[in-house]
Amino acid sequence: MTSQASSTSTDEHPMMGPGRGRLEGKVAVITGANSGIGRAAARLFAREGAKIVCVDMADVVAPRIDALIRSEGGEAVFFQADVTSSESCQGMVALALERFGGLDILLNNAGKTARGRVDVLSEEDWKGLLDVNLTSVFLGSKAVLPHMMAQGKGSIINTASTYGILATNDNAAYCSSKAGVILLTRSMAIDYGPMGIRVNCVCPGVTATPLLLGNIARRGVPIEEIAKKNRCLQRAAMPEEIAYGMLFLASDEASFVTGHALALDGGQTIQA
Amino acid sequence: MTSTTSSPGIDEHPGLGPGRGRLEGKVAIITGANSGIGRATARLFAREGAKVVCVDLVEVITPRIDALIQSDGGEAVFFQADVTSAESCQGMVAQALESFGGLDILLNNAGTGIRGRVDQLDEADWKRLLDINLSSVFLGSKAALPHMMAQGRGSIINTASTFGLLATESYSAYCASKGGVVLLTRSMAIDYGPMGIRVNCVCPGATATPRLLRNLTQGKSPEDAEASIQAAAGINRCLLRLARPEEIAYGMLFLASDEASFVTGHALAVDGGQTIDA
Repeated sequence: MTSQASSTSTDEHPMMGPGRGRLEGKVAVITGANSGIGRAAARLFAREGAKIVCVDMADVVAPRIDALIRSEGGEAVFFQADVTSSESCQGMVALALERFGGLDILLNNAGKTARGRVDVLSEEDWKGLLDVNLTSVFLGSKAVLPHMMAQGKGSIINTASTYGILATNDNAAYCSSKAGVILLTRSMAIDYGPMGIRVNCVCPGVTATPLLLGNIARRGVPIEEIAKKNRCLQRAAMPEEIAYGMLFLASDEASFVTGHALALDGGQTIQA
Repeated sequence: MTSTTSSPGIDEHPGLGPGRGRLEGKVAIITGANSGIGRATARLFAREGAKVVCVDLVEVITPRIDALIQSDGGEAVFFQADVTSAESCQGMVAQALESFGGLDILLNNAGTGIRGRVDQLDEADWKRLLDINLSSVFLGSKAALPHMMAQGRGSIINTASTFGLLATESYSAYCASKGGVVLLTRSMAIDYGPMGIRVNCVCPGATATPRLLRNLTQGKSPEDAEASIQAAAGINRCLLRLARPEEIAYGMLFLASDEASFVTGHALAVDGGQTIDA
């Protein structure tokens, strides 16, 4: 959620291809939609034909995502909200139904980091991080499920992390929250699968988002250093590459995929 | 590998959508391409614009997959081969280069099953199954890698199984072979990632292929056959049904395409939630 304006001359998502109608007729709610991975996913889903409710707490990145989507002919509305509030989550679902007459896809993507070992992290920071990264998934899903249960279909995608699969140093709250996201995903897949609702998550590896680039710049770590954690592809992901994994899970092409943690990590989590 | 004939007038892959150009300009080799999951995938890849070398040991299913693809307006050649032979694997790669001038995607999909606990399986059957399910991946990849290394890119996809992640009773050779496919996938992902080659596998759950349906229903009354299919579908408490081959094919397509450019070493479960359940 940095206040970075995209350059007007170069497209900020160079790896995103043309739309191919893969989400034609669908309505999606995407949280954390104004920056990073959520921003790329919102743009891609719209290119693929979905109408998007773009939810974010901050609207400082310019152009705002709904304007970016409309500038390429797509349909989107912006909903400024804090996903740690159940009223806000109910509000975003109500907006989708009111504005677009339906809701097929929920992408619980909003999240943040709070670095630190357990002895260093305050209880307040720990709880705040769990609220933003994990309880937001509970609340967003809780708001959308009655509608999806009534229609007997729906696709929920949650943004977990490779750090929900393997741990790293000084990131205890983040790792715990993302592991929670993976198992909440699986729990919901089991509970709602018989009702036609699929629930999956993606586990992005190191991704060149404004959040990450800002964090490592503050810590004085070059991105190449971080990217080396991945011995296979030896680079960071672009947000668009994560968005394509989300698109697969969101679309009907993944009709037999549920409860899955899709690693979009260049091989980071397969190494001993 | 049954000698089923598809019913005229009824499309055998109702779950396949129209092509959207996602593999335009690519050349793919698919083994086990004449039946089941391989057949649906070959057809889907061709619809998405790939030229396909369809490899299979048998060609008794009609229409043969290359004819089916051609009838959709796609490009394909058939290569009859046994993937347990290194010469055959080299032959299929040579065929791709000769017929289509390149090779971008290898789908090591051919496989078989054999039931039995360790005390019941004889050593010859064990070795034969490992040859077909696991060494075929080694040999197919070994044949394609020099070309992919030279061009600095490529996507290899292997067909593993949910039974390569979790075990089941009286299926020891199959489980061991598919567990091997998952870890061979990861080993190759690590070894060839720096050269631009991605290697992934798909873990299908119970899929309504001719082989599975035959295994479930052979020699049974219609009622018992139906009960047997329902029991197989119930393995999966989430979606409570078998997959269609087309649903597995779409997972393969994602991994094959450039949209999965940051995905390597992954075991993509297309299993309706079978492997997440305690």
